[in-house]
Amino acid sequence: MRPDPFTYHQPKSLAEASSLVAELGDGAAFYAGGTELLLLMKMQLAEYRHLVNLKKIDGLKTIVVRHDRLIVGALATHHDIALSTAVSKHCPSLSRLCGEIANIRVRVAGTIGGNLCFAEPRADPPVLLAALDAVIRLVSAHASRVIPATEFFLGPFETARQPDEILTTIEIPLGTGTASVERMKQGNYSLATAAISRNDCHRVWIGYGGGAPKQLDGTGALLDRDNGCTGEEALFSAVAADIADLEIPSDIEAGEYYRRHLIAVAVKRALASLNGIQNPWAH
Amino acid sequence: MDTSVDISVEINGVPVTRSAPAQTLLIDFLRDEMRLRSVKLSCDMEICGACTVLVDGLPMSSCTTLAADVDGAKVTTVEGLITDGVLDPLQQAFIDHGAVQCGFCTPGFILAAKALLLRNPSPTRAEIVSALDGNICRCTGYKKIVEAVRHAASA
Repeated sequence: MRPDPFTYHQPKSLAEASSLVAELGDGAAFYAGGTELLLLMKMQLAEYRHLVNLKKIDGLKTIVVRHDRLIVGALATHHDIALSTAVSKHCPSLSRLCGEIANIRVRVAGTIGGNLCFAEPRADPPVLLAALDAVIRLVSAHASRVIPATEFFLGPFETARQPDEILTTIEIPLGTGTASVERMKQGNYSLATAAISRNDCHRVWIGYGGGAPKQLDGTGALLDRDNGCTGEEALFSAVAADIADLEIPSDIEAGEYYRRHLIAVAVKRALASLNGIQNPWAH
Repeated sequence: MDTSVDISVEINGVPVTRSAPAQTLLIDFLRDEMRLRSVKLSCDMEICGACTVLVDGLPMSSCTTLAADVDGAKVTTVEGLITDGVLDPLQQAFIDHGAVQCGFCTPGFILAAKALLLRNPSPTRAEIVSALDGNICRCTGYKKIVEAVRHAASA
């Protein structure tokens, strides 16, 4: 499989990159690691006459802690994040997740910003970032705005990003809380992902391959009531009730019934991880 | 509009400068332009690892990397692991342990292992297995491959 011809633009600034895409319109795409975009172009599922490379813009890979926030540059690769001492110290759940995504070659090339903007419904980072209360900074030639990660993801392959906006940083508030994430993997992708954060309360988020991450309010309330020590049966019932009305995909990878079960198992494992219980299934 | 890009890259220690269409994939650049046929095309979707090359010491899928993106970098294929006609200890270990059957996946495995050893010269068995979990072999199974890497690491 080969991509169709395109023109490769390599701007040196955000303003230049944003203006280029605004000017070139639908036929142009921002380009970072290429692990997902290039695949689509090779399969002729996406056609762009212009790729605007963001990798030549300085400062987009930086990972720093500033004012009680962990700030991760959008062009940081999964590998960069997994190896960052700032991330492993302040946000170990993100560190571990980024060290386990797909395989080493995808982690070396793929960027966190690209992962979020692509909005693959089976991706894991959106689920964890939702639970971590992360915010996302979007910059265009004319403006800059910050939105919660939970408002960024609108559905499969759909985000709140405007065509000329560039995701520049992901900012995670650092509190006294803890968080965990567990995923039920099939090949390179997850069939179900669960992330739980515990600060003043428990917040439970899931990914299920069907759309934006979803918060399980009833399950979170139950964990608050039980101080995070809910038993399996009650936990499974709460998750089942929370996702009862959710449209769960049924496809060649897993049927709906099985996916609903895997979501509950992912939540159970995330809770075990959060409680520091050695998880015999994790590898 | 000009759709070609200038690429200056060091391949197996040799500086190379070429102009190529922007959409040129690294695997085609290496196989067709540089005649480095150890780089294998198999799954074509970043899963199997047969097309693995090292870019600045890190493993990448050359099937889904633009040649334009290695501009300024150092690329290594298994041909580049040989020094003055002597195989890299990893290459020798693969031979000594019979970790090769048809050989199609072997360059990718050796380079993935090389990347691990560059970063971590004394990996545990679990670290070796983890570093190779993105490479697929359909002949030998993985036991001898892991043994070869363990041997090369301890040599």
